[in-house]
Amino acid sequence: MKRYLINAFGEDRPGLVAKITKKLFNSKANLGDLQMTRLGGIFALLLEFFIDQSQQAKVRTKLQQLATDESLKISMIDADPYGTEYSEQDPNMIITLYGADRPGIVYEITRVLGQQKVNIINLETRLEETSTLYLMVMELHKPDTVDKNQLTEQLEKTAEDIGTTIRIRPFDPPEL
Amino acid sequence: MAVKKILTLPDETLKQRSRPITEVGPAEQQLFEDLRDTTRESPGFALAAPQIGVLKRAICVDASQAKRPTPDNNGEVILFNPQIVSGQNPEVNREGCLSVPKYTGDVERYQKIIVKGIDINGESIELTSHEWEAVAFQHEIDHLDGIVFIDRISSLEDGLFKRKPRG
Repeated sequence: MKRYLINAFGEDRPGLVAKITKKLFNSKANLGDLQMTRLGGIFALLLEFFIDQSQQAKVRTKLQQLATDESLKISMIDADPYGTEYSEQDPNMIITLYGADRPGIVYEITRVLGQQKVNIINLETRLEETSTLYLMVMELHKPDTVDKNQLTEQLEKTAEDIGTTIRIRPFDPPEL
Repeated sequence: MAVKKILTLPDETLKQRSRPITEVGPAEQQLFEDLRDTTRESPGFALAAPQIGVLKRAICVDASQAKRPTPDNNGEVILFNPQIVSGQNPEVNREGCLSVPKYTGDVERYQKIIVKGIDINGESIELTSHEWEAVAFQHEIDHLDGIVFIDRISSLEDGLFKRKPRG
């Protein structure tokens, strides 16, 4: 079995996930991770699936046909060439940040993280249409080599400079 | 010393309701020891009987054994027929479960509770519990009703997270 990824975009309406997954199900694909959201009101889907390599071309054709029929943008890639150096890391830190919307919030914060080799595992931001409040939630992996206090200080300073409130919490949920 | 295997989803046992304990006999004494020994050897600090395959209302919580022990905890508590008498200060926090490995979720739980039950001698006991210890009592009592934390995820968007992206 080989691993592939799909992304799909289109005008949001009921039935799209079923239409896409039906094509995969009929080709005996097994789904892995899936995320679907409305991104700025647009249907947006990211999906991982596993399938026998011999079925690959057929699935690709079916998905392209579906894209044409339903006015979707669908692309499919082979996931196997991607390395896993960072993909086994557990999150150990959560950041929430909010403030008046302005350009550069995500860039300023993620720039600090990137410089320190802190890896982002999940990132979601929201700007509701009728609101000027920008919200961001991130799950991160901070390597042990990065000083926690120094990173916190840097992030707090950056957040303040861009007029936002930041909360940095360790992430270590107990197993009960 | 009897360390039992901890069942994991999708094992159907974890979705069953457990029976109340009506008398403390040899089987309950064995369950007491199995819960205690398995909790002590587990990476967590709390367990419910269904997690070791026994559908009886019994739990073990030992917040002194947690990676970050709850301040003023009650130590090792093994309770039969546990019940939450009252709860205050609900708060949403991320928790995991030994029976749902690799996933964590945001769940609302009381941060201060009074919990009651009976001990190994059949005596009634009532305890006040705080913070993670209180969360653990609520989490374990849920197991007795066939409820796992995934059933309680409050937010559709941010409720369930994988501990590891793959593997």
